[in-house]
Amino acid sequence: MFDRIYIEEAVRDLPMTRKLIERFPKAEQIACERYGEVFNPKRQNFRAQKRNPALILAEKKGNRVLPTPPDYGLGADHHFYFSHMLNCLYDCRYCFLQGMYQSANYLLFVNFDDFIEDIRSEIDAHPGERCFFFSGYDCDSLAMDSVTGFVDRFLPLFSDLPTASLELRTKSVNTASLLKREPIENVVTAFSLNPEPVAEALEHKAPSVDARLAAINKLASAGWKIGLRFDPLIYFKDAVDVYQDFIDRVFNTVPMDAVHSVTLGAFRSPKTIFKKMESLYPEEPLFMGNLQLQGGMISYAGAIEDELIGTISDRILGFVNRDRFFPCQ
Amino acid sequence: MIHFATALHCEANPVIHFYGMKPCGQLGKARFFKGETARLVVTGVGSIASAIGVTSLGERYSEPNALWLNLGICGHPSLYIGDALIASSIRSEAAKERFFPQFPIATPWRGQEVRTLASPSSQYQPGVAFDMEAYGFYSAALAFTTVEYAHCIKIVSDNEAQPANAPLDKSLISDHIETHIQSIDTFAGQILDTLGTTEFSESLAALQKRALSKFRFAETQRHQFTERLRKLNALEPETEFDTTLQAPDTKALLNALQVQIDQLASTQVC
Ligand code: SF4
Repeated sequence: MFDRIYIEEAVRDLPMTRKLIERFPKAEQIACERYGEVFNPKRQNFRAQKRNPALILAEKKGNRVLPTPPDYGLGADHHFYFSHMLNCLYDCRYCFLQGMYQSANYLLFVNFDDFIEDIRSEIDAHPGERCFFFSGYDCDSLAMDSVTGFVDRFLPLFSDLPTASLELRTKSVNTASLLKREPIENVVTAFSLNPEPVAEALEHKAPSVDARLAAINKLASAGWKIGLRFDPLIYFKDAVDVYQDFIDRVFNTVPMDAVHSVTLGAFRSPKTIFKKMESLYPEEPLFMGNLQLQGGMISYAGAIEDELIGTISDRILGFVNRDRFFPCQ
Repeated sequence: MIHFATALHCEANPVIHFYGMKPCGQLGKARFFKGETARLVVTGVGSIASAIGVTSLGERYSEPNALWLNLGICGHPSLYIGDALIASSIRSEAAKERFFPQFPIATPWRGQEVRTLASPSSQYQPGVAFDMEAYGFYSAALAFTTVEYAHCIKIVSDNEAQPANAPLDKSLISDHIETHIQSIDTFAGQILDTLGTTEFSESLAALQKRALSKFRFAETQRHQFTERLRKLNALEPETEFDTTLQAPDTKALLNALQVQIDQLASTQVC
């Protein structure tokens, strides 16, 4: 899976590091003082690295758990996000990670205990209030779970903390570590979904839509809460019709009582990140037309975005109540 | 295109022969050679000489899609003489910064730390190859490319069992390089395949020429015009866009191109 593992000095002797080194005995081990030496230098080509990414094992220092921007939430009193890993197994053409980081190597922060302690501190700092934690902001929460062991380490924390919730954001069908345990009421597995033409053209290496829907149903049948994330909506000829049919199909497949929340957002990106994505994939039609720059953000031209969000919101609201629906405009 | 840098003529000779290169000039100590698919500079020994040679080659031949390879000999405590390795990290006793080359494809050779020294040494260290050029080569090559497309391939010329002793056996060094040149060429070809190149189609190149002679573009507009042609080239390279030349001015021309792009993109996103 990896032919190189970069190991930061600070984590060389952690049990998780040793386990991973044993797990990939053929990988060359390359020592570094700080992960930034490998991950951050400017003269790197994300697209080229994506062909053969290495694993970097490092320690996350400083702010590990951060508040989300004010308009990004699911109705709790406080919302936070954290990233135990940067970069993803999949290669979605619209993914902001490729515009955000210089390197496509998988950077795994192995000091999980520090993350867990920080999550606990946030919960302790807000007694009696509901705190929602998003994982999978800079990676897919489940895609590499068999390597990271993320679910096994983080979920027990939430089963003991009824005022806190955790979102696992994913396109993965790698749900074994969830299915082997009893469902936890305050853990939401949120699947990103797009209709087949979009998934096939833009969500490279991700499981098919059918496979994702099957995974959703398995989890729902086992009693797990599901999030449905129609984000980012992609504009193309006939997009509205295709998305409306897709919404019908999803809601006719997924049992409604398992649905925790539904979110919706059209493709958008800060200008600097967009420019970098565009320069990596200059031949990609997604980055070429029907877009506008407004307030430092690139998004679809107003009328296109309004139509996409408006018609698809209406369709979704035919299936779920407003209190479970969180469109992002 | 491959851009080779070697310190010595005896390292360069098998490469020159393999790629059918001819001499094409010199600058100071640096000697240049070129063939159809590869160029080479013999830099002379040492990190600074290597950096100067690489910079001269890069400035002489502007080539955004080149793969840069430093090919030469090294000392290693335990590898066999004649074994090849590729640098997975490069450091110098004279500098703090370290380089970490990245690999878009799996490499046929083992990765090793390469440490660039100012003079030969037989104080070998476990897992470390000693050379005298890699650091200078690498820091200079990064002015022209990224860490995926600059690599140091080293052939072991001495080890603990047979430490370096002067003078160098030049014909043995050439033989060692020659043994590996085919696999180096295969590796280079595979890496170069990861770099896409696109040229304008004939119809778009003609449109570009006619538009540039018909309209007076401000600098930003010229840039926008080339960008829009690039997008059209990716979307519909063979379409005739002659009617756009009937636009009354550059602004209308640019708008007309964007309308075409919007339409085509919406049908090709998926
Ligand atoms: S699954 Fe998510 S994190 Fe991974 S590449 Fe796609 S958008 Fe990015």
